[in-house]
Amino acid sequence: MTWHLTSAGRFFDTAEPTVVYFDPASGDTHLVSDFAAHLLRQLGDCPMTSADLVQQLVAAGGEDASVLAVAVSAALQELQALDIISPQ
Amino acid sequence: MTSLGQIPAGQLGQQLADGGVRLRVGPYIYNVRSNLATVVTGLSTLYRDFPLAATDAFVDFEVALHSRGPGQRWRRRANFYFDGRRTFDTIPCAQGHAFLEWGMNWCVSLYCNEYLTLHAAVVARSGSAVIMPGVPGAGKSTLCAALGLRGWRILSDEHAMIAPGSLDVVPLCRPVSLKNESIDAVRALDTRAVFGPVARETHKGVVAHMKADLHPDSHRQELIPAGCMVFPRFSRAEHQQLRERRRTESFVLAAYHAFNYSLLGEVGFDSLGRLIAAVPCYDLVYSDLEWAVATMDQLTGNG
Repeated sequence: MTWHLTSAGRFFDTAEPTVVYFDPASGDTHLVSDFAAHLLRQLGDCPMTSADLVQQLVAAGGEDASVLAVAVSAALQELQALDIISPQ
Repeated sequence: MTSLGQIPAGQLGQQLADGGVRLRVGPYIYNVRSNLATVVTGLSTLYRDFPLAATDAFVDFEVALHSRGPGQRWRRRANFYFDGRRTFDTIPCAQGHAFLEWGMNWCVSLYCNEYLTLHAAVVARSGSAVIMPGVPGAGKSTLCAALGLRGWRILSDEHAMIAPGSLDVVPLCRPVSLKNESIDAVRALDTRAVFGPVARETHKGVVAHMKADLHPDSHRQELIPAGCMVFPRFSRAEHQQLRERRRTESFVLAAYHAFNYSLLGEVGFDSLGRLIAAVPCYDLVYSDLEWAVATMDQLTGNG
């Protein structure tokens, strides 16, 4: 399943553990984790599968792939519930 | 410039009943009409130093509180009118002034969308504004009144109006609305506090407004840059403290307290982001007004 942003959002990021994400399509503003914000930025560059996202995180020097896969999956579910991302 | 207090005693009531009184409040002009004694008392007490606009000046908000017809007068009820239209249910005449204040707030909340408007008290000292958002009952008006009585300039008790693309706050000084035990708390803090008519049994309990234009610059119209944002909360159950809070969480909370953040869309996001990125944000938990005032003085380097 490939994930993409429902619209090109805006970030308010002050290097805190949370980031503000503004969705211009809905006008909604969300407080998301910095991890989720990182995924949103990746998906903003191009649609990806969760496996792609995990691979990028591992390549960037992240943790073990199986641990990251769980975290990515949970974050994607939360973002989908907020209608910020959707599957293609 | 003529102020309301210069209208000869005895003429104010007639003027309010006829063409109205054109009050200049920050950048706006209200034309106020009323045939209620409590409105005459409230205006002559709380607005006596407010500048009046010229009789041919453009009116931004045409507001009125009238008791009309023998039935309504007999029942001592009145209506608020905006642009000649009845806007809300009837209210007791005795609550007239309080309702006029709420109506005047309502005009700004609904129509002034050229600014990002937060539900917040705003005070200023040494050319820097402190924005204090809060839900009703949080204690922002009480703190605002206390700061006003201790030399701070009150910019607004209700609206932080921020010009998009800037950090500048629009001064919109009007009386401070105090409720229930806050009224006595402020009276106890400073016996010089001037109050208007007391409205009882309102939907917010007992309400009284305090004269807010206590500072020499109260009616100046120049915008004031924001210096910080403080989220005040009155609580006897917690330790009094001032602590810095995350900007991202402050952003979302401030957006929650905005009247028109969603309406402004991306302009609202940009405006709030610019503001929150530039000013430190704090939580202020207080139960003692003197402590809260001293803490605010220290925070802004005036202690």
